[in-house]
Amino acid sequence: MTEWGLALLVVWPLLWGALTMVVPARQVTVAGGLAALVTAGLGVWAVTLSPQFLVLGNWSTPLGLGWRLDGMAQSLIGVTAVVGGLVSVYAWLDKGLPPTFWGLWLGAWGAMNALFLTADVFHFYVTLELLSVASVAMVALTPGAGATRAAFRYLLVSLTGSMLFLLGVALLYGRYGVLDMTLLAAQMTPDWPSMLAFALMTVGLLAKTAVFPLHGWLPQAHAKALTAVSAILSALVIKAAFYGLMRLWLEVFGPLATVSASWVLGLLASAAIFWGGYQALKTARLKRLVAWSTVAQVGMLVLALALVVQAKAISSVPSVHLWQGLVWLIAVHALAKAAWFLAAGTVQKRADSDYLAQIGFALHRSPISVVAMALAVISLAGLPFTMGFLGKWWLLSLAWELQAWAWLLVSLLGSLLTMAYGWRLLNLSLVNRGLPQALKPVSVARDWVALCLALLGVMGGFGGHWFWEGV
Amino acid sequence: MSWVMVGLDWLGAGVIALGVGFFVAGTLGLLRFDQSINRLHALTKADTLGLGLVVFGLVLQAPGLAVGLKLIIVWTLGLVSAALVSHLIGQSLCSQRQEEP
Amino acid sequence: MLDAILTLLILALAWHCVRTTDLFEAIVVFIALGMLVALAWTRLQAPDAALAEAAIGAGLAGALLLASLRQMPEMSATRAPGAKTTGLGWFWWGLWGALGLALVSGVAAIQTTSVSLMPQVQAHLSDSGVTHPVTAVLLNFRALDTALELAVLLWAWMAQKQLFVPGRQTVYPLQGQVLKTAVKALLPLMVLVAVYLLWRGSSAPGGAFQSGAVLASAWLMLWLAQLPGLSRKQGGMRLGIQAGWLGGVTVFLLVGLLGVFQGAGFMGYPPDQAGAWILLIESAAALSIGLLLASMVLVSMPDFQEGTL
Repeated sequence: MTEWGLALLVVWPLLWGALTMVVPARQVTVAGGLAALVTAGLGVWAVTLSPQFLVLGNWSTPLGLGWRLDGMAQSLIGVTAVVGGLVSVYAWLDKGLPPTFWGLWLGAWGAMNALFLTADVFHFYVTLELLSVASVAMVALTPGAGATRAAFRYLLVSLTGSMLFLLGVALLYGRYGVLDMTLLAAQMTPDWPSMLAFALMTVGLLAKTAVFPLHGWLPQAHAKALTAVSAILSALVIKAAFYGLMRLWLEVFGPLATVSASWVLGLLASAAIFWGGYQALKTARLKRLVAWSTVAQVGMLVLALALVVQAKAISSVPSVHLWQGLVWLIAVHALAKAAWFLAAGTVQKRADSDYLAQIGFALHRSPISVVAMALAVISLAGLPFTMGFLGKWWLLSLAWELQAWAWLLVSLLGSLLTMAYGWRLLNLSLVNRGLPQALKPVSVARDWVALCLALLGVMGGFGGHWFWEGV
Repeated sequence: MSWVMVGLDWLGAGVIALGVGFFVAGTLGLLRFDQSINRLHALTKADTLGLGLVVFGLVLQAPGLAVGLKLIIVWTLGLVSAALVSHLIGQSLCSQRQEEP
Repeated sequence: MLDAILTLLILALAWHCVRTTDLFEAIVVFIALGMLVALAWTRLQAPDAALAEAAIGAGLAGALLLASLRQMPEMSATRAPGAKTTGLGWFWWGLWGALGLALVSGVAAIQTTSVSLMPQVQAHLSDSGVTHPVTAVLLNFRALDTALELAVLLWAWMAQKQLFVPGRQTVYPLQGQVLKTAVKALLPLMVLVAVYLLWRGSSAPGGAFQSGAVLASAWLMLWLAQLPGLSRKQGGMRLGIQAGWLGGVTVFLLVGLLGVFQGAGFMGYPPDQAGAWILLIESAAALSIGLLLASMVLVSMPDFQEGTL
């Protein structure tokens, strides 16, 4: 039963994604949408299972491939299911979405589920490759040369990242003769080939996660994409690459992830937080603002990873809730960012403009979306009574315990910056309404989907006890 | 018997060397001639003869009938494809010329 | 000696390919490079990789590049010489150079007492349903890798269809019957070679990818000769082609699910049936790969009409 379910978690979206190529264009939305909802259901179901290790085809590792369903994988599958399910509902309501979207999205979803499950570094590369191809194509769904250029740039960065990752995998296989993550972790020794592999794979994944200074492709790709696609890319696809970083730094390369290595991550993260925040404050366009905020928030995630690495390296600190905190932050960001992008896309559609100067009236007429954006911002900034607050609390107390005052300051300033650029939008809707103008008709159901996501991001805080103590 | 084998081996080597010479000449022609038609001429002449001689040399050294026959099939296919490709290139050159008065 | 010449030639060609300002020349050099790399694979005793490299890396990729070049406007077909090779250019050369040096030293630091999974592969070969270790790894021990690689190909095709721009130039009309007759004569032979490569894969180098590449070139030749055999506008044929695209991934994953049903695990087969299932999967995969590769090249051809695929 369990094996069936886990297999379907990968096979179901891939098969349906492939089939949408032959389904007549008019029925694609129904077929794809239903398939996506079932995938979401499977993902939620996978969270309720007990952790386990599954070998594919009864070939035990290191010969065969292993699937590992542990807390980390389960949480990411669950987050993807909830966010992906709601974004699929939004996509269903969006009549302007080309039918090809469904095949690409289901393919990306299947790739992500396989990526979360796999315990094999080469298989991780294969899933990453499938995810990249599908994501790039989703960016290219937007008509026009600008989006094509953004997609092409994304493709080049993504391919280079994959290549570096693959080089690292080859070095690891040459050095240890196995590809399974747990076996690699058990044998890992800090010598030159391992260090080189560590560096190559980390840089490859940093590029795919869009960590400063390898973030240049993100604002264009995420801002030019269609609304549902922006939400998927910002909330989920980035997290898949970040999940790889977590596996590498906390597990596979455990002995190599030292305090000094974590400083590199911390510095990159701080630069990302400030630069992303500054650009979000400066930009004149709505979706650009949300995209730059992703750059800053990715910095926050990497900063948290750096702190966790430090906590693991310094054994005197009681290392409880380490990966749980990271996963919690991922969930916070996924929910808030999906809500924000969907709400922004709805407003943009209504105003028929992406410029902040021209959307004031549309914001005023979209109260539900404005509430969704406001909730997303306060959750991202970590104000009390939200999911984000618990995440920020965890992050700050970890920095406190480690006496990492610099990182503590950076994360506090990051929250302030988030409030500042978030306020730019709220200010437009509350104060600077602008002149009345003709608005495009857009179904109000789309506002509600965004609000659902944002509310989950707030209410999730009440589920904190269950998560922090239960997993 | 063994004398015959050694003789065939040497003969084969000589024929292969001759074939290689044709290849070199053909490549030189391809690089040095200035017009596409001339280049085609150099290439196909040398290619056909060169490949033919190399295959012939290998047949002389072949350990058995099966290998020899396979080599001859390779040569035949090479001939067919070379003829076909040069025909196509020639045709496209022709059409281009007709277009530019 | 031979290896040293080969290595130097590959490096020189790669350098030339990157440095030349004429894009057409770069593509020709790239094709030559593919052939040399295929030779290098045979020297490394990896004939599987050599076959795939020659057919896909040199052949089909070259055709794709040439077709794309023809669609580019005349102006952009040459890069401005010497433009933008200032400080930043040297920065990139330095970066890639450092990466190359680091890789060389990293590989050199790996102990030569080789650790690999080959003994394990050999030990379980008799249960895999095939006798060629590469096929055993690709189709049995690590089957999901290959299934997802097929998915990558399918999704890459979806992506390419997304970026499709109708061609601007026209090709010259074909005169005479030479090509048509030749293609008609060669086609059965090519199909035979494809089937042979597929069949051989179970015991020797070969398999779905190599066979698919041959099928793709057969299909492209049919199209080049303007033969009506595979008109994509006919309803039945169109459906068949679409089914062919999906066939590889679909059959592979469904057989994988069947493994759960039979108790052999997801993406597993009972040892006594493994050979038969692998043959079925490889046949579907070869057909898929052939159709997908040919479609990718066809769609980038200058006079290809939108809506036919």
